[in-house]
Amino acid sequence: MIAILDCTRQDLPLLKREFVSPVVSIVERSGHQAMILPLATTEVPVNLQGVILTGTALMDDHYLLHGIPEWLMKWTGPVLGICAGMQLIVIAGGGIVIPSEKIGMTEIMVTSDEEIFSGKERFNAWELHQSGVMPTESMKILARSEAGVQAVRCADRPWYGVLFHPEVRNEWIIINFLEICSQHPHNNYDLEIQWRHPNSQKLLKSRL
Amino acid sequence: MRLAVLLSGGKDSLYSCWKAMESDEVVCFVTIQSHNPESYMFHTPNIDLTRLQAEAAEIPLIEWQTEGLEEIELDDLEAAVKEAVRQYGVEGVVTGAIQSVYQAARVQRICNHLHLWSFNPLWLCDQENYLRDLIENRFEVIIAGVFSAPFDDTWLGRTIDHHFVDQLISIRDRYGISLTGEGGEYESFVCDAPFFTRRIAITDSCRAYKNHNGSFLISGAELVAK
Repeated sequence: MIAILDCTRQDLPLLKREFVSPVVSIVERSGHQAMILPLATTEVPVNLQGVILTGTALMDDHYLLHGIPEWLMKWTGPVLGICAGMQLIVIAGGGIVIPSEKIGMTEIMVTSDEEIFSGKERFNAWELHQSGVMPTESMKILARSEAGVQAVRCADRPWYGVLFHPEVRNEWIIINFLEICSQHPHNNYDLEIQWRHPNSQKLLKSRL
Repeated sequence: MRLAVLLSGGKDSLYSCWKAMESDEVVCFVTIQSHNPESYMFHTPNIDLTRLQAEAAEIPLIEWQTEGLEEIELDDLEAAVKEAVRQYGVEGVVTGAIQSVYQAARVQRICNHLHLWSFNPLWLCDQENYLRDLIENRFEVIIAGVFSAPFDDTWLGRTIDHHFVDQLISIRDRYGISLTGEGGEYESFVCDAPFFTRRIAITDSCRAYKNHNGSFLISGAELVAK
């Protein structure tokens, strides 16, 4: 089971068609079951193999109010954050979001070869964001564009974040992520772990 | 939210309108009439007939003219959207984009500039499911133009039904066409939609066709009871 954490504003259901359904459809076509949960869910999903945090519209910044759910901080299995989802992962890791507006196709340069990019060095990707990221050293930078960081991975767990939208013209990245999920045992919860960066939620709220 | 729908007269804009109406309020249509038949963004046969569609849907229409020069036509689109904000208090714009990053990026930039929401209810949808859904929900859609092989003049004026979809699926791989025609392979015109209070009856039309390039030109049409 792959949990899709829906980062869109819940009172605007049209956004689900644009940012959630395309991801769900890639997951299902790859033979996985998908469970859609709103970002603010308190429900702790069981029997999970992986988690995908979606992106959202340019005008939508509600995801920053919520941050990632507490149960996800105790999850050590694979996570893929897309755009808004990537920003949340970087914030949870102690990094910050910075103003960075980009709408359209961009050339991505892979700087660190990891399974998720399957050996590709360059590709073009769809970007739609008002903010970029500045991660801390707890994250490895996997790819960049001229404007800045495009992909990261947490140093201590298979958590990935991409600032661009791989569901547009780069489905292969989501398929590679699902392959990584298949290699992991289910239910990777480490209940001993508390917020790795206890201030990240507070920091986040003070920034808004 | 109060929304404007960018209306070309084709199935993608009117289906997106229908989806937007399920959760939000569509307060106006915006149609851009391009004088350039090569316009990447706006040119389509029968664009004048969006007036009848707007009347059928009982939704006001803003018609805006553009010379259709590449990129400058976007200033015209921005001006038209601004007018929708001024007249109808629009907070967001709906388009029928499916996978064209060219069109989507340009509308997103305009919305971003004007601090408006941008919604694309068909974005990356499953194209076969979408066409079947149109048919099952009694959208009446005809082929108004064909612009690539293997389409010949027998396709002009055809209704989009399950047989049409089956036929497109059978030739899609051989000719590299998209099922929805978003790559410019064909254009459509909507005569009826679930939210129309009346439907459009075509009373006069002619076909112009040469070398896989043709239009079904509607020269007479009227609204009739459903």
